Amino acid sequence: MISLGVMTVKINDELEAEFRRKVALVYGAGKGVLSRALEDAIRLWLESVGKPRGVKFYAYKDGEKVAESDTLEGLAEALRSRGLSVREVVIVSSDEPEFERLGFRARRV
Amino acid sequence: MSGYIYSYTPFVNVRILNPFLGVSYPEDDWLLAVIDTGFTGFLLVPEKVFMSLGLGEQRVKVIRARTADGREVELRGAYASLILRGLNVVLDGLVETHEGVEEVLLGMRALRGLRVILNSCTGTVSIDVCR
Repeated sequence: MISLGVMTVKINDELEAEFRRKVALVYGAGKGVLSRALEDAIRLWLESVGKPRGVKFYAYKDGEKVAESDTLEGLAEALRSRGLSVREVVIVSSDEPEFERLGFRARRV
Repeated sequence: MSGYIYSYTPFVNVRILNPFLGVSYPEDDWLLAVIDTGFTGFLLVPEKVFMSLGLGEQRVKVIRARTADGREVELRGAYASLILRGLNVVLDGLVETHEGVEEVLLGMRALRGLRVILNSCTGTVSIDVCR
C-alpha cells in the first residue's frame, strides 16, 4: 500500500492560478489531478537539482571498483548501502585534474 | 541575482557539503566565495574549512599546481559538493586546499555548464545553468 504525504504550502496567487489552469489542460478535471501534477513537478525539480554534468565518480577498495555514480550523493549512498566507509575507499572521477593553475588571488599559497 | 561585485571582485554565496559524512560548511548559513577565472580547479578553500568538512578523512589526493608567479606547489584535494545560493543545482568536484589559502575561490572547473554574467552597471553577478 502506498502511503501519501500531506504538505501545506503557500505560493504566489498568480502562480497557483497558472498551475491550476495548466493542470486542467494537461490532466483534465478528475479527482487527484492536482496531486499528480504536483508530484510530476516535484520530480522534475528533484532531477534538475541533482543534474549531473557528464562526470562519473567511482569508489575503489583494494584496487577493485565497489561503487559508481553520476553524483557524489549517489556514490555516498552506494557506499552506505554496501556498509563501506569513505575511509576504506579511494574516490576518483572521470574529470580528475592532473595539474592546476592558480591565479593572483591565491598568491599567498 | 546570485552574487555581487564589491571592490572590483565578484562574490557568490556558497555552501559546501561532504555527502560521505553528512557535514556542511557553514552548517546553516552561506559562505562568500570569489569567482577566480585564473584558477583552473573546482574550489580552493582554507585548511580550516577543509578540515571542518571532514575532507581529511578521505584518501586525500595531491595535485600539482603552478601559482601566478611561477612557483610549483602541491595542493591537497578531496571530493565534495557545492551549492550556489539561488541556483537550483548541486555541483560535485575536487575541493582543494593549501597552507596560506585565506579565502574560498570558485574556479573555472566549477563554472562548467553555467552561464555567468558580471553586470558592472548594477554590481551584480548572475549565474544560471546552460540549457
